[in-house]
Amino acid sequence: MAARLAPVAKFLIKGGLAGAAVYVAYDQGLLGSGTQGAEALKKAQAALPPVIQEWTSYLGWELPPTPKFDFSPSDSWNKGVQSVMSALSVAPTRACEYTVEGWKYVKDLVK
Amino acid sequence: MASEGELGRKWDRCVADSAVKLGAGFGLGIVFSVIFFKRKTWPIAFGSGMGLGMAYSNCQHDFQSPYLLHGKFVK
Repeated sequence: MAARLAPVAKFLIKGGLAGAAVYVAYDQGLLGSGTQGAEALKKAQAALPPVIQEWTSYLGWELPPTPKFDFSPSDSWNKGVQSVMSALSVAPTRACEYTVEGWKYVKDLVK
Repeated sequence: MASEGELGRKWDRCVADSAVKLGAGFGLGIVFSVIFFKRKTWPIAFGSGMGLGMAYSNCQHDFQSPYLLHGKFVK
């Protein structure tokens, strides 16, 4: 009787653990819409540094302060595009200047 | 609210949601791999892929949302 019940009990415990994991993920908004996912990430970013601080103080480690991860990918991308475009726009002028300087340096060497 | 600002916010939401869904799928894949599938690798890949797919679907819906019309059936 017990031998037959053991696999069933094992399966029920495993199923319960897996179901609980899925439910927690759903409850935290990890499996919902894009807005919910972004909110969940913001909550995690806000909650992580105090937890790290608490654990490091409990273990007695000295860590530098955690850097802030709050950045906007679209802003960073746009800034990168602007930097690249402004560099490309001044590239011919700079190339001329460096060529003139290089030519002058070589002429001075040859003298 | 400038339209390019709104587009930037949608991209930010999309990237954040992709990271969250990938992490959640990876985590649930690990849980299922350990509990049911004898620590094989494929549930982890499956979970991560599902997470990415859900994120892609959410992003697609978010970007297309001004053009989606929600109707109501009137009997």
